[in-house]
Order: sequence, then C-alpha cells, then structure tokens
Amino acid sequence: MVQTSRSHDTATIRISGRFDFRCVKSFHAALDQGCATWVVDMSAVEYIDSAALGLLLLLRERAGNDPARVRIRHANGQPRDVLVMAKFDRMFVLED
Amino acid sequence: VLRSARFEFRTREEAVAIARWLGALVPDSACTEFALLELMINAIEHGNLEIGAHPKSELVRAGALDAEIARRLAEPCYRDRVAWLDVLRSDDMTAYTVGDSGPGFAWQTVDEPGPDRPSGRGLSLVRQLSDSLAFNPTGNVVTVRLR
Repeated sequence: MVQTSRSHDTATIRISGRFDFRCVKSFHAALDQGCATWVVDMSAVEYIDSAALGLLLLLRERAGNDPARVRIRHANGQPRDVLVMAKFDRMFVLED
Repeated sequence: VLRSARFEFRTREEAVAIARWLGALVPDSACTEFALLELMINAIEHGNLEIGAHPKSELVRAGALDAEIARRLAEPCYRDRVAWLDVLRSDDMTAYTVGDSGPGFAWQTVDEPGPDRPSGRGLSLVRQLSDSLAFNPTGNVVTVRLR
C-alpha cells in the first residue's frame, strides 16, 4: 500500500507490505503531485522487487536527478539488501 | 519431502503465488522468492508477451505497463501461451528452471541498465543471488541454482 502525506515542501511516500509491481499505479499517482523534496519511508516494507526499483528511479528522475531531493528512509532486511545489491546506495541517500 | 514439481502460469499474480509458496520451503525465503519472481515475470512480460526491454522501460515511465500486459494477455496470438517452472530439490541446493513460449532473446549481450532506465535490473540481481544461472541457446529457458 502506498500513502502520501505532505508537510511544507516535502512529500513523504509511505509504503507498507510488498513494494512490487502492484504498487505501480498508486506510486505514479503520488509522483504526479510534484514536490520539492521527497522522503520514501520504507519502515513497513517487507519485500521489494525490481519493479519497485524502477519506481524509485522514476522518482529520482522527477526530482531532477538531484540526490538531495530524494531520501529513502528505514529500509531494512530484504528491501535494503536489494537496494544495495542494485547499487542504489550510490544513487540515493539511504537513511536509517 | 518435495523433490520435484512443475508449475504452469500465465499471469504475474499466479507467479507471485507460486514464488511465495516455494520461498516458504527454504531457509532464505526472501532470496528464493525474489529470484523466482524476477525470472517468472520476465518469462511472462518479455517471453510470452514479447514486450521488449526498451518498450518496457517506456511503458513503466508512462505508467502503462499494466494495461499493455492485460491487452496482450487477451490477444489471440499471446493468450494461449503458458510459462512453466520446474523445481528439482536436493538436500542443500535447488535447481529452478523457468521456460516460456516466446522466441527467446540474445541473453549473451544484455547489459546492466544505467540509472536512466527504470527496468531491466531483475536478471543481474538474480545472477548475484544465485550459485549459477544459465540460459538455453535460444534464451527462453533459464535455470538458476539456489541454496
């Protein structure tokens, strides 16, 4: 499930459960809102697939490929392993 | 004890159900589930439904992949295509073979995509997770070995 909240110029996308190809529509809807900076809160994500990696890259693109504008927060377990394996720790700020 | 099995699937939802069930049989469930799902979804999208790598990236970017998959699953030339997964288990290793009814692809020349491509990462991640990964010459059957 994908939920978006907004505070000033920061949008937080909170995903829970499986962050996979079934989240594409709701994640796109979140991106369409536009924002200066984005936080992707993955504390409640238990599993991600490569479709989720694609969505994170679209978000990065939407943020002008500026690493300071997108932060991935609280990715642990399998999601963190996959992010690191895909070298996303070099393209995004991963925060604990 | 389950030593061998064959599954058939057409949709991504069926692939999820199979991968979760098989993942639950091994200690590293998430790794097995991830590897199987990536290969099975490739078999559906790129194999049976013949959505090329670059067109897929454009569909992802446009948010139109789901609709394109649904459209192709209903088309006469694709709708009867089935993909399959064979499982062969020994005590410390399992070989999973995924096949599809598509024409195959040139797996020898697939590159890891750059940051501008929102798809195409699954295969290289599965390669990193597995003990071995090998395609048949045509590229429509792949075998991965996982612990």
